[in-house]
Amino acid sequence: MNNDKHDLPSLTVKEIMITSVVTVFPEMTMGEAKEIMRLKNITGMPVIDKNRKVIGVVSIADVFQALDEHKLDAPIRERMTVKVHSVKPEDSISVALSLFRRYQFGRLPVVDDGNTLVGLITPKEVIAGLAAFLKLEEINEGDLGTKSGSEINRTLEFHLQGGNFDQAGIAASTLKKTLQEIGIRPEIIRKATIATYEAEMNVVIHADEGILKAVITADKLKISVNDRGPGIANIEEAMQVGFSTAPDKIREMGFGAGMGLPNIKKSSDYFKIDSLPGKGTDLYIEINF
Amino acid sequence: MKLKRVQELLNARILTTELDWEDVEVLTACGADLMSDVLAFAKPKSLLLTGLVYPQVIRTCEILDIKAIVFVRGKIPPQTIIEMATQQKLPLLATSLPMYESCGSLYKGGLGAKEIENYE
Ligand SMILES: Nc1ncnc2c1ncn2[C@@H]1O[C@H](COP(=O)(O)OP(=O)(O)OP(=O)(O)O)[C@@H](O)[C@H]1O
Ligand SMILES: [Mg+2]
Repeated sequence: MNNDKHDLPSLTVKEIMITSVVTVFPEMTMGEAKEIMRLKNITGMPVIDKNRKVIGVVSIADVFQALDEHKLDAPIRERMTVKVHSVKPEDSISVALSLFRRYQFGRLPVVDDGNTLVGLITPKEVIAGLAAFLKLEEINEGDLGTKSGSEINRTLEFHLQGGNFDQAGIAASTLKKTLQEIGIRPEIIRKATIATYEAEMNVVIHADEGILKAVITADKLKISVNDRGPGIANIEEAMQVGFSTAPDKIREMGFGAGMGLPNIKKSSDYFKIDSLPGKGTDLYIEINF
Repeated sequence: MKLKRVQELLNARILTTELDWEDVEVLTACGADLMSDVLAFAKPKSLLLTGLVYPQVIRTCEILDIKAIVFVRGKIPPQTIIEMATQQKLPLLATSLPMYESCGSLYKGGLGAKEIENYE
């Protein structure tokens, strides 16, 4: 046990950082920053110049302030935080950890010696990295996730396994309880729960494995389900009521009537499904509160 | 309609003996062997009549706020399912009547003459 402790610093930022980072340019407006944060469901972004050098950070707090002052059309350059703390790829995870603790940052850009952006880490990556390091199987990322956005966001994440029927429904019923706790209207909870259950069932019935993520914001619920599996060759056909490729075994259980996807669509305010045959399927829906 | 009345009309037997069930109120009913249908059509606070005895039926009821189940055609679910329902405080009844007659008796008895929404 004691020895393990000494091994921790050997884990570096490079091993845990996100490399596809959402960024903005200084000449874009605060309004654009707000829109990107909303679409990408993030609470802050590094501001970079044409050479990918980090020149600032713009956070949701900056957006709120600009909103208050009616300055959403101001360039990001004028409103961003310029004193940026960053880490290096070769820094140990404990350097990042202490920065997060000391400053309560939501994120840290990762830069090379020339201050060029190479990645990003949030407390979530640190925790996931540590969890992997400690070989913890399950952690509830939802509660630990984007800490800085906890006032506006609550995220629930579920791992779904193809063929595991015992587990199907857990995401839907957990989400249901959470929405009840927050005091969302029952009709909305019903739609959300049904859509989630159908989506979960589809992964369990048709795919190999998947991640279901539910993000609760102030005004809506966003659910994404990304699976690895056979995918759907003809989405238009799959969307038809009654179209199903479910095997008899599934039908015996009362599923496989080809009604799930249309029901998900009917229950949601925004619906998008993309699939790569042989690879998997990505479903994204939104339900307004 | 109170579940006690449902039980009388269908001459049904209570399976979840540990639960208080007589005064549970259901507003309408949904007769289906297809959970897909139930998910698409059922109203809240309904009674579900079904011949399916899989755990998914219990799950589906939790998702949909279904208040009780009547298993028709003499189907009796395994003990594990009865336990699952007991935990979930979901009363289970069983009748030997087939689906058609079960639904008919309840309808005639005055339960949920409301039409289900059209499926789009
Ligand atoms: N995640 C998925 N991966 C691969 N194929 C899928 C996936 N989701 C749906 N499909 C395909 O689309 C078809 C229609 O899906 P839909 O949910 O509408 O019906 P179903 O799952 O077959 O039956 P039901 O939802 O009524 O139980 C499925 O039969 C399957 O061929
Ligand atoms: Mg389905």
